[in-house]
Amino acid sequence: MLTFQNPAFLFGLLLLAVPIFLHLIHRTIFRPQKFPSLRFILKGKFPLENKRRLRDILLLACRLLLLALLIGFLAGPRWTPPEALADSAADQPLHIFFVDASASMSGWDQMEIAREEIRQQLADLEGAPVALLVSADRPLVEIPPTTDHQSILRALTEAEAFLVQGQHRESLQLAYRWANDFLSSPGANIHLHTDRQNASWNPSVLPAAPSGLEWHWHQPVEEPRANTAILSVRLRPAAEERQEAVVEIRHFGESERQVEAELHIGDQTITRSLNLLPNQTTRTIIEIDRPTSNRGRLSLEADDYPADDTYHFWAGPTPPVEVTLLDREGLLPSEEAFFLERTLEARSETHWQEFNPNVVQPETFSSENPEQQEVIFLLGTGDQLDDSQWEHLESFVAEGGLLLITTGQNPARQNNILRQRDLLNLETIGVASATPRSGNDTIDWINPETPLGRLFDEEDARALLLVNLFRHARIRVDPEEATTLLRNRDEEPLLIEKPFHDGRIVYSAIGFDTSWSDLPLSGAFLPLIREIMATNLSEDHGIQRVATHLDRTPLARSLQLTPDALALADLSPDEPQALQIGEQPVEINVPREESDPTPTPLDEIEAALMPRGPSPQTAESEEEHLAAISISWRPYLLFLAVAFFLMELFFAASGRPTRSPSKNS
Amino acid sequence: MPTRPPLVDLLSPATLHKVGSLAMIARIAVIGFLSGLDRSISQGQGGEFLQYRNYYPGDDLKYVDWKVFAKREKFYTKVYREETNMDLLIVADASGSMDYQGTTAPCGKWRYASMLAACLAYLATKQGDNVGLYVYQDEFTEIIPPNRRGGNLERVLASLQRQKPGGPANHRAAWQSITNRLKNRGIIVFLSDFLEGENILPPLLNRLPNTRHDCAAFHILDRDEIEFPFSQSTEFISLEENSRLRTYPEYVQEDYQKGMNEFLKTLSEGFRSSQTEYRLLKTDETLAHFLAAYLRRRERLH
Repeated sequence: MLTFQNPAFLFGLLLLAVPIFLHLIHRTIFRPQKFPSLRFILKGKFPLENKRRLRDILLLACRLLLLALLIGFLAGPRWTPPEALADSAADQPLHIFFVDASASMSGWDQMEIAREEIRQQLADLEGAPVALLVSADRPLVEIPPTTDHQSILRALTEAEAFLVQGQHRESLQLAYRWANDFLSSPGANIHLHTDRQNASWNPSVLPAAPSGLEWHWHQPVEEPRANTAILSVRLRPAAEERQEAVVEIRHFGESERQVEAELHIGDQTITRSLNLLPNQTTRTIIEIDRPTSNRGRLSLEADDYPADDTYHFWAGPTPPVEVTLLDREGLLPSEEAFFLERTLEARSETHWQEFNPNVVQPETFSSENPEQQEVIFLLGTGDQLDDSQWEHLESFVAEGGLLLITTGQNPARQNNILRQRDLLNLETIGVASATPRSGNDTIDWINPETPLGRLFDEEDARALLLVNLFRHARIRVDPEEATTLLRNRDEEPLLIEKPFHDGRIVYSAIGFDTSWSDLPLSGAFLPLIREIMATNLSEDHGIQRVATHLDRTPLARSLQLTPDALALADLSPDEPQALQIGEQPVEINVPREESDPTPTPLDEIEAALMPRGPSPQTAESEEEHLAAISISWRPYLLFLAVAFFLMELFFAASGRPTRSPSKNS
Repeated sequence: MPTRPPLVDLLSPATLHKVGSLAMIARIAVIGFLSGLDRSISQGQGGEFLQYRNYYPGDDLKYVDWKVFAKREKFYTKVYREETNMDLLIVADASGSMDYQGTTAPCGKWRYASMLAACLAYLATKQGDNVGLYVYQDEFTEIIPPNRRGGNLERVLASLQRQKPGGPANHRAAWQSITNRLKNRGIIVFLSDFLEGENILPPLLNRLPNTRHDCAAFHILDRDEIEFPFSQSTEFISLEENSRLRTYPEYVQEDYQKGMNEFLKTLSEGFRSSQTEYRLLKTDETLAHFLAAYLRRRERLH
């Protein structure tokens, strides 16, 4: 079959009428002339009329062919051999079966329903090319277009839902590439078997489809679907050496649900009956004895999506928080550092969180220190740091660290540096010292809106309010700039905090040694310091929470472990569990993003998949397909055009007189 | 006052052609020509009375008409046409090629030849010569032998008026027939375009049996035959043969003229070698040269 790349050029064949018309209007008309004798005329060597007519016809033919060949060259004819044409005609449209195997598809028997539907569809497509894509967070099973339906059925039988959040962009792009070879002819269909769960089918990340692809949506289970999911379980200390498990459960459904929750930890099993409101998150606390096991599990009565009905949590101690005490230079640590180090090292019955203090001096403090730093105490040594050390502190706080600054011996100079670096804008008035006349100053106000205020309630606040202050730096701060946590009797701020990007800066107007106050000697010092740091640490601190995932690389990266080391830990990341890798507790649970059974509206998905202009890949693919099965005539036409051009030149030259006519007359 | 046209204009074919009768043409041409030359018709002692004139002392008395003297008492001398033994044999080619009239010529070749023959016959008759006419194509179409009897001129003129050129020319057969009829001394005048005859006629003329005859070949051609002035694509139709030829004149003109020049040269040299006066006449040229040439030749023979 002859096809043309640019068939519009074929209209140029109308131009062939031009040389024919010119030939006709210039056709020679011979005037009859009687003459005595032809003997001298016959001596002329020039070809006679018949020869000239033949030459003219040949010249016309050359010109017509030359013009036709040039037009043909522009039109780009391609010859498809009959065999290839027959093969092409025998082609049937491609059917790509796209199976969503994200975590949500494990519920409601959706995978089995999808399998059965595909089997039925395959039965109706005997001999047609089909392809299979099982997609979770990436293509899990890829069977490119084939007519071997048995391979599709085998792969389909083995395909299972994976407990990950679906990300189908890469899989869809792969399907588009497969479809490209069939789009122009004979066509391509994509059958999507999916619940369109909203986390998996975020329209903003879906790739636009090539034009011509036909979409067929198959939702295994029609709406509405209900689901109950355990979102999180957090352990925290409680009174009398007990623990509290803070449990968050969300019910996705239009009606209330009564559910039994069962918590297992060590030899303890606690069952609670919960009343879950529709489409709301229920928070409940389950008190337990001090656990004898580091691993716990909370289970609900199984529903249609059981993957999120169990939550594995870590009940053991968490790794200590690395704390850097940036002390002033000296042979021995300062008194301030001494008290802080002792306080942080102390064990507490009510606080499991351990701290690992490390005293360093400005000359040894650098950005090359271990990145494990989570808290830095700047013990009045700000004026001893150089620019690079300050830049390191800035980036540390900005990335989520806690910087706790004490006023030091020269508060004005340090505060000036803080202001210049836009870390904390304080106005330094001076240093107030207690006099025999005025007596010692005291802490008079604890901000009740802060965790500190909630910690030091009426009973516990007494110890803090009785602390004697011998001196303090008098500062003034804009309430918009920072939050005041403690004030003295004169309502001057003693402790303020300011968020800085992802971290926090806490400034103390009193030093933590006995020359400033008797706070380090009081019982309030330890809970004060711990609470200041605890409020900065996230609830997840010390526990690595990851979703079930087949790919171990992200988990290894987050744990700063090599994949080999992770393999040695005998970890099965695709199995929900709580475990400890080295000193790092890890909780692996099914991602809860998949728990919401609400599907993304189909029109939103289709709008995102709508073709945006002709796909260059499609055009290229069609071009490649054509090139593969057809033969371009362009080189031959060009060659013939050159040949006829030379012939035209030859005939045209042979028709010109070689001698000029005589002018005797 | 209207001016009298010059002699050349009167003898030009363009002028004479407008006169239909060859007899009138001959009279106009010859009388005009002779008056231009200040010559008169030869008078002599022939048997044919021509006119009377006044007697002049010294005139032979035997020519005085005494009867008129008796009636009028005045002497008149009788004048007779001079009688000679000179024959003028006009041989005219009336083949098809002589029927050609060029694009700019005032008359065709045959018409031109007819006017020439008429003038010649008239002039010769007035000079007392005997005029004969032979017209041929593939064979003779007219034979009027020279004769002393009166009325021969009228027959010649009538025959010339009557002839229609056509067919091929058989020069060899015509000449051989003519040589068998030669008797008296005289002049043989050939009027033809001599096409295809350049290699035939000169050798034949060179073998004249009687040296008392003088030959003159008047080669009549149209100017188109010499210059070949055609420019458009043309289908040439032969006047003698049933053949046609389509060609582009601008491409063959040079070769044509070359062939024509060779033809004229061969013909001229052939006639010269056979001591035949050869003169090329174009159909737009005046007849005066022709008549003058005839008179010179006659005087030479006389």
